[in-house]
Amino acid sequence: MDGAVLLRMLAGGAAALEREAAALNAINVFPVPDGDTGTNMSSTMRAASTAAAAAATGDGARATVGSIAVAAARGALMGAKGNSGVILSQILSGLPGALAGREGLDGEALAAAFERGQQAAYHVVSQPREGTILTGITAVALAARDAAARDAAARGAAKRGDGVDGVLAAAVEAAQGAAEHTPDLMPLLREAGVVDAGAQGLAVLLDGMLRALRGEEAAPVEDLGAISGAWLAERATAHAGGAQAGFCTEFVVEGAGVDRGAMRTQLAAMGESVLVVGEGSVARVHLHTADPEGAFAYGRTLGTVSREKADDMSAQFASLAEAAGGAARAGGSGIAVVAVAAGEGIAALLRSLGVAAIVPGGQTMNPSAGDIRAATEGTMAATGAGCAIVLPNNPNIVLAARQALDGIGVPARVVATASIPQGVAALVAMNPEAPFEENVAAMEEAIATVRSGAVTLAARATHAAGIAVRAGQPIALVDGELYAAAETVADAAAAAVREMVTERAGAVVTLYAGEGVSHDDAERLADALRAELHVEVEVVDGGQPHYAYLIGVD
Amino acid sequence: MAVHVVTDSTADIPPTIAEELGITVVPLTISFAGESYRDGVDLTADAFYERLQHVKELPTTSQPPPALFQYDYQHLASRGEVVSVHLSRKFSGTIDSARAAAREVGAERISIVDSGSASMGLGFCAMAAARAARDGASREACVAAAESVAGRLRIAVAFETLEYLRRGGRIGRATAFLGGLLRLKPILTVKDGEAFPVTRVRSRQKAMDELFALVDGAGEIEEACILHTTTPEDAEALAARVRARRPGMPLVLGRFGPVLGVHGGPGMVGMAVVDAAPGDTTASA
Repeated sequence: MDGAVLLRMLAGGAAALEREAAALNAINVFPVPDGDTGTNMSSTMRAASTAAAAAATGDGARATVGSIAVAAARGALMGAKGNSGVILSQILSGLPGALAGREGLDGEALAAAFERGQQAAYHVVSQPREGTILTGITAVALAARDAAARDAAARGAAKRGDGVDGVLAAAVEAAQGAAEHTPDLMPLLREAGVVDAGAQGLAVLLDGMLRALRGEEAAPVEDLGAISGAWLAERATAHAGGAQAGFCTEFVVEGAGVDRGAMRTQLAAMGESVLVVGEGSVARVHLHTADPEGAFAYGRTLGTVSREKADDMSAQFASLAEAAGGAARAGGSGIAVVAVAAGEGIAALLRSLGVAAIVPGGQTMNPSAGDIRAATEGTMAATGAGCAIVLPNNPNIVLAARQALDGIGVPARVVATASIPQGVAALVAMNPEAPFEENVAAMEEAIATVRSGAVTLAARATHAAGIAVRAGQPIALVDGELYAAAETVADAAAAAVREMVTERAGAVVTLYAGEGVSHDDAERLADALRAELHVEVEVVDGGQPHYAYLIGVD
Repeated sequence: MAVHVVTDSTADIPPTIAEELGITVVPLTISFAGESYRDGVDLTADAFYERLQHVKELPTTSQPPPALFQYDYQHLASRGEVVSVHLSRKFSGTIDSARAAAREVGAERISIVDSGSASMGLGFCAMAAARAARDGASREACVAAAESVAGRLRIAVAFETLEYLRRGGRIGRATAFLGGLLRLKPILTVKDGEAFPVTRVRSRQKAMDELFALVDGAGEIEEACILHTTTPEDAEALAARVRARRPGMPLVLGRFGPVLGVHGGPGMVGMAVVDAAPGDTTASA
């Protein structure tokens, strides 16, 4: 085999990577999910192929596989983009070592090139991880060496061919097998429902080279014999939904009855995440179903079914959840936070800040110690947390919360938050990575610096702290004390905020709009306060009962 | 034999300092919609942040190809030995490119050091190696100088949002601070080569207080720096407080380069301090 064929193979590999680049980007998870593995491998291979072609043109008739190999490796090194590109450049660096000075290429030399490339690739990565392109090139090197040895033995009997096709075909098969095996080696991939993008890219590259060698057309994406990154990307999307029940079911069916459109409709009735791809009389099927046998049986009514596979997803997710829980505990975290709160918006906010369980309650509906104890124990059991923090968010609930934790038998503390704004400040100060006691201290420190206000309607006429109040009149409380009476809730809130931000440079005001206060009303008030007081104001649609506004100043 | 120090452009070492210490800086690449720029060479921080405001899609960053390192290594190794100090492997494959190049040129003359840090955390490691080299230290001693600083770094970075870090895939353990229905300003540190959550605060003022806390303790500090992406006024106000608290301490003011800017986003302010080595009496208390 001569230099022209090697050039064609390099170009074919580059073209295959280019075609699949977007699909490979889409499954990029390790080491950082920045979605550029396909692009990087493609542009690196393009650089290798271009440099090789330029060298061949320059050398004219004297171009040998040796000189082309040197140019390709050099081009890859120059053009390597990203980590996957660098590793690919190392794999290609095996070419000149094995082919230098040679006129032609044979199977043994190709196998030797893979072996050298494998060693170089491992050498360059500081902490080699299996389940990556490294696993791919190892499998390729081993398979190529076996194929070359078999071929040499056969040629001893009857000399025929140069053995390149056989070695490369074995390499393609090994690369694809290794790529499909990567999720077993790396939990991150299993979790994402993808194979490693770099390992898959290697299979794409070698497949492109083999097809170029054979003078075949490029494999269409849907070609089931080929390696389809698009398929994998779609499957990853289908798996992205989180916990699932049933079986992840796949098979291939070939027969005259294959009609992919009709199959999609039929299969959609049998399960979810249905994917059907293929060409001509062949279809490759993926779906999530409780009844994989039923899906296979349906396939058999259309033609010959092969490559059946059914993975129990609930088992998969259970083991993943267990692994995740273990990691959380090992990380010194695993703190269940229970908070007392009323109002949908408040509850959603607290949850978004890390609260695991909400006990409904507040000013006029204090929950019992038993309610808090049950919520704490329940959420600890559900999350596997080893310790608990309770935020009562009301002075009248602190004692019940302390009683609830009495004798609970695990590290558990009440951080005595007297208001929702204090509860929020405590949660903001929490760090899931830090130990329990450190978090309790940080939360207690945080609540000491918060001022809390509230606007409500006076239940009855009164005269207190020099303020005359009519029944039903809007009143503002600051840190639990009556502060002002006003004609509108907005005026009462504004009076409270003015007092609360005094001598607080750089303060942030949070307005929690209660039941009956529209978002627009709250934003109008916020705008007025920003203009008047030059402070940052954030509006939360809290939806709490009794209080038109809760106000926090941090 | 003379030792030359190489680092990458994520070190954010102000050019005057790099020049003075003879540090060779190899640029990473920034791509804006298909156009590539060498960090700090074809694209200054000012031009970058100006342009960042007008693009829809975030630019991407990539490590230098091995050939870029190879060029400098060949040149420098012909005149002596090389110590090459880099961005944490957990953030970028840059150090793998350096390793690949060292292998081509001859690894026996080149030492590659993973700082386990980023920006001026890395910058201080490279500067320590360069100072040792200037004082005639051996290659091993230059490596030791860089590693010693790496072990004495304390870092705090205030973000306006973690969205850029998340989109770039570098969020690591700081995932815990994502989300939430309030606008929160997360403070992260870099530990063992990774971003770790420290705390979250509501106001800009508190965020700056968190950074200031790095120099507010009692320990002796060798040097420190403050960097920002788009808010020089924050960096300068913080610097004034730091100078008042630690009058004699060397303090570098600088800017996060485009590569870190892509991942940190507008409004990021960071501080790194190098604690004095035990027994060092020259540092500022």
